[in-house]
Amino acid sequence: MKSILFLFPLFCWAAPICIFQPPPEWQPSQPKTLSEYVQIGFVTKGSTDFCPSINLATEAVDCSLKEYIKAVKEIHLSQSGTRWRDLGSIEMKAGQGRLTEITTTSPWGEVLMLQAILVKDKTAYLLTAATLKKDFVSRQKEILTSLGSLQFTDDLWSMVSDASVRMELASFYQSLGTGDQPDTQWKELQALVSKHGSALGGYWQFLALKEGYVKIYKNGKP
Amino acid sequence: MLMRKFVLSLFLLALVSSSFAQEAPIRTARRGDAAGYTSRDATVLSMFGWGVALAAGIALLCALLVEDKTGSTSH
Repeated sequence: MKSILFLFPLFCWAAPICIFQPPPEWQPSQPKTLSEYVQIGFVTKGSTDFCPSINLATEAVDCSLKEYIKAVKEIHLSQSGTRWRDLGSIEMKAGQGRLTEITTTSPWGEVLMLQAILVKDKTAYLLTAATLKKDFVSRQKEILTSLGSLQFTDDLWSMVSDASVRMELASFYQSLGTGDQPDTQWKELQALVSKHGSALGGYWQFLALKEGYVKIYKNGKP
Repeated sequence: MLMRKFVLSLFLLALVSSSFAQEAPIRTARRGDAAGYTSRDATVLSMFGWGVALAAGIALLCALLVEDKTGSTSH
């Protein structure tokens, strides 16, 4: 009992995990040239070499959403050849955010970006989707659904709706890092995440693999 | 065709240069900087992302993870 009470403050301080669902079939991508704010990006094949993309970024802030949007507006409008519009509120699973539109040019034609911003607990969360303007109509629905999917969860497993699968995953994760065959566990983990994670999206799968990887190879991969 | 490739190369060079030119200010970040950077990052992803995404699904996630295992957390 004492040990549980001892652990209680740890649970209180654990920061919630920010998660979103990229559109189905979009592939993860993380070129090395991206800024340090970007957590992950997803792309899909487009009508040209310019692929529709979406990325999640975070920034530590000390202001409200309203003040943050004001600062964002100034930054975008200071860039030549860029147009910026505030499109109003957007309902995200995590709460009410702000949706903005950025238009710029590229050799493939005009680029349209939608940026959904939410400020919570001194962190700004930004989902930015980019497509060619001519492709936007065909992508609009899946992009807006993805932008609205931003949510917070205390742990990854609570997002698994099937109770038996949730228990299977939790039990498997508890066993990670205890055996003497880490590579076998890593393969089993990939199979399990692939089997049960597709409905939860690519980012959930990435975080689930990351959490398992750290437990399996806590002393570094040989 | 040659002209188009030349213009495209110039554009990519300018975009990458502007990314590097703005690496330094991250240390003294202004409020809202992430919004500016990530709109540029979105363009970079759209231009280079598919080339990077050579594998698919879990295999690709694992490849990213192994590359990024010392990286930042998700929140």
